[in-house]
Amino acid sequence: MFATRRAALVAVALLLAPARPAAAQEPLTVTPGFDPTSWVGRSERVELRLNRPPTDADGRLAVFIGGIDATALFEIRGEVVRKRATGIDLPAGESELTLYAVSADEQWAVLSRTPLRVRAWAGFEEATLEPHAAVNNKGQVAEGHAPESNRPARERFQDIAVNLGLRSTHRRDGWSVRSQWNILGTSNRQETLRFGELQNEAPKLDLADYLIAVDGGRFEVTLGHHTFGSNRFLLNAMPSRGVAGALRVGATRLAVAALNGTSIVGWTNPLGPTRPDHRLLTSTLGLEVVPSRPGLVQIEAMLLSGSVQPGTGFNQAAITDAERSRGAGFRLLAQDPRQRLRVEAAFARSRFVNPPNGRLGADSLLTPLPTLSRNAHHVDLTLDVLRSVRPSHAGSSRLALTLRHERIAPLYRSVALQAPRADIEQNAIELNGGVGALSAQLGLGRASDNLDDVIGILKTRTRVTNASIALPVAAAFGAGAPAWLPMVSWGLSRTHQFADGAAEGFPAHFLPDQVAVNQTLTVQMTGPVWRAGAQLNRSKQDNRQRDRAAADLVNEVVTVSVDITPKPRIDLSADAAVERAENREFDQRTTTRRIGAHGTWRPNGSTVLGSGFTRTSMTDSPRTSRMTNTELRFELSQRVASPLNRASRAQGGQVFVRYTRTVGTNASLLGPNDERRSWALQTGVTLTLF
Amino acid sequence: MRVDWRRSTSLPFTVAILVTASLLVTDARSAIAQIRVNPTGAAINVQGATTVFLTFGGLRNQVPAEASWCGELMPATPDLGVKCDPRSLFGQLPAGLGPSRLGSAGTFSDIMSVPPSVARRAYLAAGSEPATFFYVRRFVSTTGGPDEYVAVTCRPTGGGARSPLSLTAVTITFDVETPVLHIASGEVPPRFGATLNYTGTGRLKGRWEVVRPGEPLPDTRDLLTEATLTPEERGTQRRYGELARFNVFLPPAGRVTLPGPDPEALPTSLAGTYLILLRVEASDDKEGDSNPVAAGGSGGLLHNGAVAGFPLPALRYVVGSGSSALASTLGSSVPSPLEPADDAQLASGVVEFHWVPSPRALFHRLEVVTYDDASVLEAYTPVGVARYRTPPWLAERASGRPLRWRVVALDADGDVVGRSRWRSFRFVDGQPPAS
Repeated sequence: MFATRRAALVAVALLLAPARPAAAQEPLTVTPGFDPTSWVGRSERVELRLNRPPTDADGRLAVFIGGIDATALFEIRGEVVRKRATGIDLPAGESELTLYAVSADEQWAVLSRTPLRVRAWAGFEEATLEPHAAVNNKGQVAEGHAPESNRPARERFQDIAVNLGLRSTHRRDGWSVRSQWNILGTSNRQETLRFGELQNEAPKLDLADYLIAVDGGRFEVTLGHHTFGSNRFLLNAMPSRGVAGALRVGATRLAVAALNGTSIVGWTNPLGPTRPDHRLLTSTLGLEVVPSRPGLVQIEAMLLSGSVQPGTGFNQAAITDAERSRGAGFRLLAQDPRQRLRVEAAFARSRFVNPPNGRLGADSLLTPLPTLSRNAHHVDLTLDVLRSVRPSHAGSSRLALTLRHERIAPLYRSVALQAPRADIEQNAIELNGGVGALSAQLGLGRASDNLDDVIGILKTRTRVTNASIALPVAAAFGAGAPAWLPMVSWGLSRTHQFADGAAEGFPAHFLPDQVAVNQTLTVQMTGPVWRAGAQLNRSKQDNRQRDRAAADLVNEVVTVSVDITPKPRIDLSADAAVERAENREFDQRTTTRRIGAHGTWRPNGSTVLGSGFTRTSMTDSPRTSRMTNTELRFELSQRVASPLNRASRAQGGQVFVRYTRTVGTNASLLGPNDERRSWALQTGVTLTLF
Repeated sequence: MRVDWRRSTSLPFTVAILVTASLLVTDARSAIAQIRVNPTGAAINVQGATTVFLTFGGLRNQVPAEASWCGELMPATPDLGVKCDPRSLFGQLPAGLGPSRLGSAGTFSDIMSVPPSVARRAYLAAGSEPATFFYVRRFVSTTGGPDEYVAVTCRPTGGGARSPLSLTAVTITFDVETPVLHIASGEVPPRFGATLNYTGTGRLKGRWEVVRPGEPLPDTRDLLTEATLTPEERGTQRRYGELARFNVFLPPAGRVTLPGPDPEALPTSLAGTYLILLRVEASDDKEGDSNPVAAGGSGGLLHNGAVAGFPLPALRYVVGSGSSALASTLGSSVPSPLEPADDAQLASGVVEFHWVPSPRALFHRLEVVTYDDASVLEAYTPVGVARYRTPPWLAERASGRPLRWRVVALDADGDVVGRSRWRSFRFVDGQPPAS
């Protein structure tokens, strides 16, 4: 990837940079390198030919296709300006290929205008259908372990996996239909997509994800995996499978969606919202109050009705219940015409209940849970106290004041959110500012819980102070400063949480009074072929309540890392970390040390040799044990071109062989010493059909 | 002890005898109870879930059965100990152990996960009764002896500093709207991270690891946090290639986003399916400590910071075939507009756009459109260039209409990997830019 990016940079730099001076300055003339009266393919590398190489005096060249500045997609080689071999195709239809000469004072002069006709398929401006298929055999051919208790569940094995996919795009007359399907199969049941949910019933060939998106300009319809919602109290950026539609009329936008209750994979329930007891129905109406000034005042209203059964979605794990809720919410985004004052506010009311489902015993035997309606709201107000006239100017200064208020009633809950935390009121004041490249932030916050002051429930108050500073040193020294100068940042957070009076049933030593201070210092540097970073983090939990004043914990973490690319085909990296944890109550100290090194060598475009080494050790004081874990890995992979299409990187095969060795030791003064060793030789073959 | 109703002189006297006798029997039974637990009480979040590591000790030919939460206790006669009053039952767990395990030397490591609905019942009961509620585990004798009940006191809180550090919900995702990411060989994946809901406060430490194609897969016990394991199991989980360590402080705020390591550290040269694992190590947390000796077992004090009542999810990505190009990119992998500011008023002439580039992009495309979505200008910029100076005729093409602009990140195939939010601006002829 580095090599690809570097090549792209070099090619574009050649095009953008002023050309070499020339002795003779005859006017530049341009002739097309293709037949303007004929149709060309979308991936055609069209070219324009100049009568001579361009010089500084000509200025830089700019290539437009219709209204698209495509300069970055073209390269200049001597007298030829040619489209580069990128994955970005020419726009279908008839347009004009225009070459400009742009002077240093931004005067644009047309050098040539050439008709460009790009073929479309069946009248489509864009029509693509890309199937993908790959078969993969992987396994462990040899293995060793000690002691016997370290025997793996599968000593030697061979698994087959298949990966099928289809992607399509069709665009015509302002309409577009795009789709994407991915299917995964495996011979090893434990590797199946839904093994965690269905165990031995999980299908070996299963649908990983799909998405169908129809865009008609003013309306959109989406089926499949998507992220929904923008109300922080009802439904907010929730990933799920479902059906959604949106319609925009003038300054009004209406969106509706029906979703599965959690993110799912698999063939079962392909649409998503088919189970009434495990789905969400939502609609949102968005309105620009002043259509002539978009963004000045925006209002969103959301309705949500949902029910979920116990269980979590793909990539999720949680302690869950059966839940049902209905809610309505509003969101306001507003700013003054000069954007000095900005307001974001939201309100939601949710009617929630845990319906009977028998999971926690016969519901008739449990104490009743009534349906409750609760409110939540927040208001954020930001005022630009000081704002630079030229934001990019090095000496500019800025200062913004933000006031935040949030209140979430006890037992507030929406089925579509793991957050927010209920029964809490928070107020905060923040200052964000900076001078030139230096930016700083200061925040003060207060929070309290048990808002209804319920007797017997602990009530706590929290005071939070945050501060941070960030300085890109190179930017601070101006344009001539070396690029390797570091980016330095520091952050401080102090949290004081304490009981607000006594609570029934709580002994005095159970009432919290804790101050936690957390500081982080980070330094990052980047050079032409390297980058380095270091971070120091320290936290202290200072317990102050009765009988626990000595129960303090102090943690320190130091990490350093270096990445180097000495040659385009070689990547090296190394990192080290030391973590110290001190338990002052027991006068115990634990130290964890880690070192790691990784290297990758690509001797050619198809061979990759990778290696990695990590060693982690943990010791304590007073000494009771010492644990170490060491891992060593070598991996060689070779790509083989497809005999049918040698030019394709997508098609073909790949073989690999990997050797891993791990050693774990636990030398304990309190029990028997333990050493666990294992090594394995793993191989695989992948055949990518298309 | 039996009471003959017919020989009793009066009803009050009979009742008094019955009560006294039952108390005597209860005391006698309690006196021979074997099983102890540590900790004997815990602070529980009544607005959500909480997990606590409990050590039961002194088991003699006994196995754990079901567990219950309730507001009041009653003598378990004729069994041993005290059990839940059925009139105040908040919930009951079936006999399955979940992540709980019998240990050596007559101990039982119990992972008590209080569901949100049980906490909700406890909150609602708190208004009229003492708020403290109980967790009661029943143990069954394998030799025909009486059952034994052991109770743990649950003190209701908001889940802050006195609650044990426990993970109650974990989601691991890439910054892409797809459950399984498909990327090309050699492509840099989008950023990824974990969102965690938790109780308490303390350090969250551990490792990001990756399971490569061909490696044996982790089993369910491998996916538990270390603090969820019995003392004998700790340090024995299978390890995989380490991407990076993490060790961060969690304030008593209940929710945190743990960023993953630099996505360039993820292996993508080899085709196949990979799993990213979040391996959480036990940290020192006073509120979560469990002392096996106090429970009648043996061994040192167990630190249980970051206990979780479930296996952590694994994040899957597939290299070499398939595509996630249509799925929208989220978060920090999306390009972010810098200048001009939203709703800026600009003078006619050259406009310079700036943005924070997407780390996944090989090209960026600047799009300038009217509010009717009519294209006014598009421009491609290569990797490393996050700005664009327009031709001077942009204002002329705008014809006085307000415009919107955004930046689209494209990969090597020209596929969209992320879109920035729209920003608006307009030209004000004859006036200097007012930003």
